[in-house]
Amino acid sequence: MSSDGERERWQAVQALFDEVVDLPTEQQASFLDRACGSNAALRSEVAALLAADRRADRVLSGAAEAAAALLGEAAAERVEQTEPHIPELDRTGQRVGAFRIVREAGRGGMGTVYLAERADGQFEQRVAIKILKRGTDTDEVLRRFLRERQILANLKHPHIAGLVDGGVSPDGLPFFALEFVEGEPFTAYCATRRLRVEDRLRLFLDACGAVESAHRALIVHRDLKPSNILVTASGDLRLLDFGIAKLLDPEAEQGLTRTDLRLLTPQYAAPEQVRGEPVTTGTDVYALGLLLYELLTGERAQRPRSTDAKAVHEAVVETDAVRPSTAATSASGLQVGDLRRRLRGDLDRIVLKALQKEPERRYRSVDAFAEDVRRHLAGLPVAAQGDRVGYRVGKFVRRHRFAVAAAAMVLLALVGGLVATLWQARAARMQARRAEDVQKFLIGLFEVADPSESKGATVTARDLLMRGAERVDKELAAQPENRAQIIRTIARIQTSLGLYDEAIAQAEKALALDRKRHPGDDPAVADDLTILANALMQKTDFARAETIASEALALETRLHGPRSAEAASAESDLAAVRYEQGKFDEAERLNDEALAIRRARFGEDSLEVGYSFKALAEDYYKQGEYPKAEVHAREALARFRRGLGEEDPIVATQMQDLALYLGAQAKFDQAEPLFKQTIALRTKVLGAGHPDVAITQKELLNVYNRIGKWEESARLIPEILSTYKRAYGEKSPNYANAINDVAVIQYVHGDYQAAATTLRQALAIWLEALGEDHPDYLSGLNNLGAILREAGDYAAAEPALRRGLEIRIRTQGADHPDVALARNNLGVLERLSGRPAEAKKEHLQALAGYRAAEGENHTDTAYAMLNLGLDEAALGHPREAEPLMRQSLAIYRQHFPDGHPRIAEVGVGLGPLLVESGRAKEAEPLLREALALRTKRFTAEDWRTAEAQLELGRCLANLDKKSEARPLFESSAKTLLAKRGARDPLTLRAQAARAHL
Amino acid sequence: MDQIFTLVYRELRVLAHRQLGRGRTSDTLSTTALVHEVYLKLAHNRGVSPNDRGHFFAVAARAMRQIVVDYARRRGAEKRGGGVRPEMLDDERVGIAAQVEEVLAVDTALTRLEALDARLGRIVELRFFAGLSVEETADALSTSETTVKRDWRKARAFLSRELGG
Repeated sequence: MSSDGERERWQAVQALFDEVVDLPTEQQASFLDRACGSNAALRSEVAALLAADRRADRVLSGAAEAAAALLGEAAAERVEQTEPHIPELDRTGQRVGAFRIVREAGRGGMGTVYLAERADGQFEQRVAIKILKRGTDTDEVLRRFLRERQILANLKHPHIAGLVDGGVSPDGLPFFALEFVEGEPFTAYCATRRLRVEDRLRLFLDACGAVESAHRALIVHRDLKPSNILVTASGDLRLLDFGIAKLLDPEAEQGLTRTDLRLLTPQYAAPEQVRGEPVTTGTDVYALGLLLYELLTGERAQRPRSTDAKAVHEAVVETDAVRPSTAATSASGLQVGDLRRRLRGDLDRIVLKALQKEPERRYRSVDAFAEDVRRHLAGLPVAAQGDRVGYRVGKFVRRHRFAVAAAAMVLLALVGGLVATLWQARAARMQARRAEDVQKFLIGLFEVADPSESKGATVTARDLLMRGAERVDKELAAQPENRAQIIRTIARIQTSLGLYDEAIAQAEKALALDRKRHPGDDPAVADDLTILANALMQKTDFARAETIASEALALETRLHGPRSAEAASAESDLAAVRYEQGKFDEAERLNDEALAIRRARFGEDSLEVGYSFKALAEDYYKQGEYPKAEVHAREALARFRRGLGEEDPIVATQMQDLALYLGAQAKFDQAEPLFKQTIALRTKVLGAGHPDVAITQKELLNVYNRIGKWEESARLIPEILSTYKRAYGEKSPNYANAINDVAVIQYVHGDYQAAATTLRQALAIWLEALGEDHPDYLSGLNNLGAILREAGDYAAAEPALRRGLEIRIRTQGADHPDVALARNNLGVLERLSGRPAEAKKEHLQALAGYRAAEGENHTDTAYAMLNLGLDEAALGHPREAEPLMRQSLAIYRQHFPDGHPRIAEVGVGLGPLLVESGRAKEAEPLLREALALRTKRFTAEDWRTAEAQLELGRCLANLDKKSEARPLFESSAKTLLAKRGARDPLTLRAQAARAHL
Repeated sequence: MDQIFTLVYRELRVLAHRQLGRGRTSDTLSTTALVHEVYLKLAHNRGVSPNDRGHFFAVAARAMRQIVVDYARRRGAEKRGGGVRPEMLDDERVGIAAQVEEVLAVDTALTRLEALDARLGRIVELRFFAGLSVEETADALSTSETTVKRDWRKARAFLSRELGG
């Protein structure tokens, strides 16, 4: 996450900060000058921290309020939907031996591995701590665990992650600490960096050295695989995880001469391990052979179709590896033609010698293996002789390509000309796809080429589908099979368009048809269930979705077996539902199972496995496990790139996901370029005017705003708008919605004028496209009013609010709480514009509306009361004003005991009333509270803070505390002049008060 | 203690939810009170021993952070995924949007801090998210109050700088 360099710099900064922070401010600068010398960067960083320290109170109390408010919101959610996740984070912060746990780093069969750092302050050190899992501490496991510790203690080698410490955790479980290795799996390291063959071989020799040294200590690793051999960023290789290693010294142990099959990784197992025969150093030779194979070809030598014993036996014991020069693919990161030529001959022979099924035919030692590699590198003849054993060449057989083109055409006729052109344009690509993918492809058209290209186009797509469904019923009544299939497809498209109710209805119809036709188990029924479950889930009807998805899983399992691809898909679907229900553990278990099935059936590098990784990454992201999300997203991306090529929309989407996960970890320096790459790629494959391009641009905008790149941010906004314009056309409501989003961003960043200008464009479009009764238009009017009021442009804000109110009364009825809200807002504006009598009328009605809708003891009701009181005060009726304000204050105090900006509003209203009726003493605490609340909410430079300063100043002047009042008037007059202008009544009052004093 | 995070997370949520059910508004929930209440409950019912107190608070602080950040993420995701209906701007809703932003920004900043200095990160969780006092924090981390005060000030300065306030 942070580099060691960054951590070092922080150590220097924070140490200096400690020294300087308690010095008087005026001495700090000279102290820093002395302490930092010529290190200007250090000096400015400490200075920035000191400056931040001074405003930390304000910043953090705002943040704390935000957190508290969200906690409240979170608490209001249904609890059962938010079951906890992130199990086993429990040790974070725990002290274990001389170390303190930072985070979980991984889990194995016996123990969990944590990243930890030295906590005894002796020196800085990061370690990986492996702690025995509670509940697995049986004698057998305990023995193995302690043996690993013992083995590691015996090993000292620069390429083996060494033992640092060991002991017992506070809760009584044995642990040991290892050198922490931050690196990539050996094979991935070489592939992603496109290392030359020679460099790969040299790194491989390092691995051989490490294994050889273990052998000299009479230890066989037995579990050599890429994930146990990491290469750090600086190119250092480390061998890890002696978890199932075996001591060859017969004195040292009995009973574990064979490898427990359950502990094996089938892809990296040796034949003797699978056959249950004794393990020797030759086992590691074989594993190193597998590793070299993968390193050189990008492919695994052994690919069991599943993890059951028969499949493993077949792949490991019976099947000879394909010659590396034949097997090599671009997954190696190298150009395939060159690579194949490079591998032919020596390297083929070396690898295949190491991979002999009979241990005695392999290299007799790791050293001999390494020696042959060295000879090859030196251009000397190698010891390995050509292997005469024939080998089976795996052929990839493509499926028939056009099987269901006819079915697709039926559907095309239904959806009509809308997609015909696109169909043509993409036909070539589509031909390579599998049969069922035709339907996916069509759905994809709806997603990719969003149909809302012109006014009301979404409606057109919806109508098209409904018409299609009717025609299916009429015209295909005699062909129930086709009919059900098309209805199902329509349901799927409807789901992708967000028409969930229609989709559910259609899916149920298809299900009923298919059930009638196929009383027993049938794949068509399974498809219907799947689609129905998906639509239900989208509609957030999770309980029903779960029932249906479980039914689908059971059916797929009966039809195709528990380890079938179909079962895997159904498991992923059910996992998605369970996830939404907050059953995270179950979801994770299902997803893991699906992944395992897909690995076995389709191969580690398949697209299917990629999709599993993608789903897992999304879940981890939602759970806030960003590093895991990142890792899984990278796995998915690698597979998509390999399977789909660089220029595919799915690759782009995955890049965006990865960038999002990086951003979540504050790795903005990686996220930013990746978002840019995604934008470029999406522009290339989808066209410059595709909404997905704009979505990525908005993500990039968020990054810019997060890291304060305001110029880039300002330049990007017009680009986003132009993308949307091209995507939807200038007159579409979708374009207006997009503009509204941008206006909200501008508003949140305080650029009110720009926000208002932007929003007005949106309003014009909504009005023309949807008419003035549409909720979107009304929201827009309300937003415009709010923005203009913030900007102080009351004259412009009023017509927007008034118009909104009129329409709401007409369309929602006068009693609707939204109408009360609109009246309240309009009334405030009328008062601010100096028309308290009109304001009073609005607020009386708003109060009546809220009382009827929400009752007396409600903050909305209190707000209307407060406003009415403020109107009365402005009208010069303090007697009427005071009780209203007091009542609203009482309600607020009950609901917001720790203060709320609304309480400040009461204070600023009630305070002056009290002062003028000779009760300044009573007003003083109220006004102080109001000033504090407003300063916190709006900053010290806001005009509302200045208003509170003015009123508190007047109160204090009245109490003869002139010296305290004077600076308040000064600051208030200055702010008001700057923010509200010389002619504003508030400004004039502040100036008069200052002069009077 | 394998299950404790899960347990605490759930208990915190249940309790917070129940308090709302008793007619308190969301603004009146006190983080500190919640954390302590859950501790008492678990200490009683599940036999969490007093020795685990420090560990418990570390876990609770993490759970509290998770609850709030999870929620913010869900809200943020709604915003991102949706985009169909324009947002309504009024005091309350703008408030929530800003709070979501703010909490996510704190979480991001805290993640950064943890990477630089894990101990400071834990102090922020305990003080900021679990609302523990200096004494309680010192207790939970088995360190002195002076250290906690010094580190807390530093962590606050760091966060405040990151948040650009």
